Amino acid sequence: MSSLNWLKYEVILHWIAVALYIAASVIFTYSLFFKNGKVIRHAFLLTIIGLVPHSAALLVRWIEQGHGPYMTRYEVLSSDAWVLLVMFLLFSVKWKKVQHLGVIILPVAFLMIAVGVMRNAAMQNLPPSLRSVWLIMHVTFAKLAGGAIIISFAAAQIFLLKIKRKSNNWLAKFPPAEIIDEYSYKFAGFGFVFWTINIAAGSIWAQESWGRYWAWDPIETWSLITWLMYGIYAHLRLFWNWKGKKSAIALTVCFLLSLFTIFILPFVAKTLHSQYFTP
Amino acid sequence: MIVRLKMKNKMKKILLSRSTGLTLIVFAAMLCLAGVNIPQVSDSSPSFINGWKESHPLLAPVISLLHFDRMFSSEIFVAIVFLLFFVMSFSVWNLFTRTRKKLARQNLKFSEKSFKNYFSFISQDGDPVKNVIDTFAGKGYSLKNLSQGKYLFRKYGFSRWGGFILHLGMLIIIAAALYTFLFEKRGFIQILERDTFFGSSEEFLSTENGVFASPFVPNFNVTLEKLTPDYYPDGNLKFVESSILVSTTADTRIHGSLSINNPYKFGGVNIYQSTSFGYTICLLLNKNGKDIPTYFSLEHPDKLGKPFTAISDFPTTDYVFKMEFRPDINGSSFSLNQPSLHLIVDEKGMIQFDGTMKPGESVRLGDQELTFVDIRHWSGLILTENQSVIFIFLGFGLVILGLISVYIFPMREIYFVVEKNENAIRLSFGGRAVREPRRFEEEFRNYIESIYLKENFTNVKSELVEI
Repeated sequence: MSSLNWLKYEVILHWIAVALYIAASVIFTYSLFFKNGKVIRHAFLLTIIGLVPHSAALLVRWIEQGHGPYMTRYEVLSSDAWVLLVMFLLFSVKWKKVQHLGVIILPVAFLMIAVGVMRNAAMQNLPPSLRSVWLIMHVTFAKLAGGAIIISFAAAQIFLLKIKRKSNNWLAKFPPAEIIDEYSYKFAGFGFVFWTINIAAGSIWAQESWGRYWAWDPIETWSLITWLMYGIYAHLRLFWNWKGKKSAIALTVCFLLSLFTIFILPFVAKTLHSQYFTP
Repeated sequence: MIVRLKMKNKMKKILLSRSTGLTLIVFAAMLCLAGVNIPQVSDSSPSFINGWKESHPLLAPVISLLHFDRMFSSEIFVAIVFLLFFVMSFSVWNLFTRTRKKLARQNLKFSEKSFKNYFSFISQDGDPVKNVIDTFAGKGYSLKNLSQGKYLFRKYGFSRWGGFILHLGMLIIIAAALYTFLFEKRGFIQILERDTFFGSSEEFLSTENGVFASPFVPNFNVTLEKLTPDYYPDGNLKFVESSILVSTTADTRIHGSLSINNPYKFGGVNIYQSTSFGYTICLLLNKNGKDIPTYFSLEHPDKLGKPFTAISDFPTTDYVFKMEFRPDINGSSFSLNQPSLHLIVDEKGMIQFDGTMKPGESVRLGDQELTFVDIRHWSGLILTENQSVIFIFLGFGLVILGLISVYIFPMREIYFVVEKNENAIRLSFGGRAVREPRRFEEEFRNYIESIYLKENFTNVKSELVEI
């Protein structure tokens, strides 16, 4: 089958996944509004069913182009959403209270895929410098960091809403504010760990590729700034007792920085990453 | 003497203060932010820098004065990094001694402030201690006997060292980065097929040595034997490899190869394949009976099938050469199947020649003769010597290890006291977690309830009391 036909099926599979994720989002919202804990199972089921065409689309592309989803905006956004959803499902199994965050996570995920699918889906070959095992590590952990950071951001936003509108019935159905605050911290911690591994793997890759582990490339520098901000956030929380509102605001700033570094900078700055992360 | 001691203590306090460390990190982040927003001489053309300075007349003199146009080697940035290294050294030592002390303590008091969540209940039946120990062991807690009737259950005890390991890793990274800044040797060579680089510092096309590094003189020769590029069907570059011969004065001759992501290592020097390569054209100008050979290195185009292009002047003449070279005039190949050079020679605005040449051909430029003498591959190789790289990666390893133990395995402690009298046994539990205390509190309550609800407790009249 020609690449063009594969592309057609891939896009269809992506839209099926988007439709299922939209349905799951609706059920997540319904379960919160009507305090119907039972229907949340259906939301999870739909998310899992949505992951089937989503995974198939990514897998087909992977096989067809011979490398992972890290070259074009289309595949990057779709795979980032996939990682986010898988992380969310796994964490929801371990920590039941995280389940309610689906009300934010699912819409974010389907929007990411939809934005990606509307971009140019043409496949691209891997340049020689990207043919490295360290690239796979680098990209994998960047995606994991992105997923964890989005979950922590979602928790921080729910926390801020909860303390602002204490009498709101809808928000009352979420776990207590302090618990949500701790989850946002926990996922920020995961994000911080993954971000560090992402930087380390990128650094080793750069050393193997160009003989320089750090070149002050704009993405590298922004990545370091984001890392430092997460470090500052962690210190403020632990030693200056920045819990609750202050912590959630600091985390929101860190999230915006990460968002800029991962999703916006490669498109606006002249950086080593721009040539690989094409529109 | 007292004044000096006071000063010393004050200094120590400042250096050990978390505020100092945090302030320095904020400063470092701000300088990085400035570094990515101010055009840097290392990655912008001089014309761009000048244009930027002209459009920022107020800011430009300050930036030049502070050397912020080369931010990451500016005195202020280096000073901040040095200070951070200094403060972090104190912090790491402090963390080490504090952690060791905390782990060694044996006499935790039950009423200690940190044991905020504790419960107590009375059992009248048998000895439930084993049951409690089994319950916590099943939840991954290890037991430490403190004294008669006092037990400490700890989960992820290694996490206590997380902060120390994390900061030690960062300290190693900063130290290695400073070493790189001061002593790294790095040079770029453009080497022609069958030519030899003899290892002298003058042969480098460009060098980037550390502040205190001696001139880069690799102790060996490198001969480029062959350059092999490979392309995807769509014409994009897939792979490029240089086959080299490394030789030393001690008659060592080793054949090797290197490609992007696969450097060649010899004598403490790493040789990297750059993405720069192409063809070098040798043109010979016969001027007044004298031969002037000149080599023009043409960079490979971004896609196979496009011509290799260059514009260059010709030494000792007023000529400007505009070249378009194709290794295969009839097809899209990198191999020299039918090489052809389209050459335009301009002399002070007058076109002296506009035509195509093949290797071995000559053309007249007025009373002079220009011959297309030779064509060879060239490869761009990067040579580096930096002993600190391994420490950077060791540092990264420690930072990751520290972060994982701090954030993924946060330490939990449960304190368990057994008091017996003739009629009953009183069991008291306390719990403590520095990170995520509310979540641990819930977890802790579940443990206690599960112990309380177990048969040997429910069968007797016992009481769950929250203190």
